[in-house]
Amino acid sequence: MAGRVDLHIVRDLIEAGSSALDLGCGDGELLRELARAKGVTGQGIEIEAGAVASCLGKGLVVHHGDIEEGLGTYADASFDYVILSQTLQMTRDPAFVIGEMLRVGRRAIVSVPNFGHYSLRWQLLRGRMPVTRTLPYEWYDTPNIRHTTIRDFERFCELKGFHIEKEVHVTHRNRKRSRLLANATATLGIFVLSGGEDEIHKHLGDGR
Amino acid sequence: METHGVGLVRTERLEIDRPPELDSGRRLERICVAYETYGRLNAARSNAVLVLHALSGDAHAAGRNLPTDRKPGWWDSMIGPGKAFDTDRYFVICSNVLGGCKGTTGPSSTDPKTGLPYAASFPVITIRDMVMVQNLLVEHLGIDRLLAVTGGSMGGMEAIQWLLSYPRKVGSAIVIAASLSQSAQNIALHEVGRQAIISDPNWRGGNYYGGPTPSWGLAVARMVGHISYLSDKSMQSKFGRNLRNNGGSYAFDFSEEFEVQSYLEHQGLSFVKRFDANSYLYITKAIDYFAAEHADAVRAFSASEAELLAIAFSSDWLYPPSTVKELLKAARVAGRSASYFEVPSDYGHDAFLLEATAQTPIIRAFLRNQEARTWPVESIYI
Repeated sequence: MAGRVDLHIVRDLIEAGSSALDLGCGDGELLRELARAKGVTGQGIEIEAGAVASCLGKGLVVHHGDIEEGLGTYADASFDYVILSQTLQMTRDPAFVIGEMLRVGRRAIVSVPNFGHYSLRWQLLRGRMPVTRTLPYEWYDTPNIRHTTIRDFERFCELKGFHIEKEVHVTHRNRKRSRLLANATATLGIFVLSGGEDEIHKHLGDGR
Repeated sequence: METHGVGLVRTERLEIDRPPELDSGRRLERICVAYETYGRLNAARSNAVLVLHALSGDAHAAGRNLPTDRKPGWWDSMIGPGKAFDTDRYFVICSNVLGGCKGTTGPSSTDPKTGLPYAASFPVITIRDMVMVQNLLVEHLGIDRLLAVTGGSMGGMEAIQWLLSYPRKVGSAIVIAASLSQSAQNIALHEVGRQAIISDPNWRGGNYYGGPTPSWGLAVARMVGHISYLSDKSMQSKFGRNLRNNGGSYAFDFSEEFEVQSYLEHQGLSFVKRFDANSYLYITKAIDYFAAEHADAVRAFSASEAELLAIAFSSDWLYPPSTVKELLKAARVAGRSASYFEVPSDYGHDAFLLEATAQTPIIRAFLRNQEARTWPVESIYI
């Protein structure tokens, strides 16, 4: 589990023996770790063909495709958790994606890069678009189209009726920060969400 | 090009007396099944993979029947030592379908009652009938459970039908470029082909054996089929608007002027040398009848422990990725493990035969996982 600090936290958040669908599962690193450490039965959705082959090679069940399209092929309440790691900011309709995650899973675990981090604010103050380790792109080549701060994401969840069960903030140095400072000091927010039937269907509309 | 294959193979024949009733309610006295096998059946009889061919395929899936054969079997790129269907590990079986013309009983076979070819008196068959015959072959070979059933196009429909008909005999299914049910557009394309055959004056109600055959009708049917197997992009890049004469000036007549015309005609005319027009009618009809409802598929998957691997090709407009995914949904609703792989390809539907390199690691990994699965004892004896 090299590279991505949020994967450890996701692992700690998940109940042992549960089932999980990892959106953008790459070569199945997290799923394998979850199976090893927590006895989690996992499946993944991944868009990159080579990574899909690696997943299959590890004995994982995987869907080759993009997240929104892939989620549509799963039945309601198929998993205990649906995980979306640092990708929500790349989706066109985040409310729809989370709605779909909560249709397919009982809980959603979403990690979002925090655009409110002080280093980004500082870069903006200096008149430049922020480029950081978590958000390493220039404005002209970034796949990230829905930047949010932790505070904005909390507001969004309240507005859309997604219930935040747990919230973890990640900084470069350590994981725990006071809620007050989180919006300026956390690089990443990790949220465990659940949603009532009503809320979910409100976002999905009649098309399902 | 082929360096490593299964070598020389012989087409075997199985005679089945008094086979069960067909979907139509009719019965055949006896059925002959042509089949080939590659690799060795292990002692536990647990490594059998049944390969199912498409509309114009046959039992000869890999290797050569004669050292002088110009081409190997139709899926030689996928079947052999170290290939996707690794014959060092698996016992691979392929048989010609019921209604075919390559050794298995079909309309060109002799009706034991009359001593004449069945022709149009051959019963209309379905994909389920084909699978029923395949199951008799598998039983004859002493296999209780198949490690995998697999096929592309019609072969994929047969694989789906295996799950519907014999859910507990199938350990896994690799369904390639096929859908749960034949679409209206595909039925329409088949119908153009059938009308071309039927309106050929040599067809004569199907009774052409021993005389001139409806070869032009069959050639036109194949031309229509061939267009549907390619993609707009592959045709454009292969032929564009190229003319056969190098001068590049129009002839202002209806001769074979464009290169794509001559390609189609070549495809059509080479097909009639190896295929029977009546078999084309019967088999396309069987495909058109194929319609597994979502609910049936969910029930079949629920009754089965089969894992699914579905493969689609981006430019396939005959069985596009969206239709292949209907099968995935059914498997997932039933709680079965179902993986999906979409090969980016410009080859259209034909990609299932051409994209061996892209499919091989996917299929190989999937099959290895199937080998590792264990089965509850009671589910083996059914």
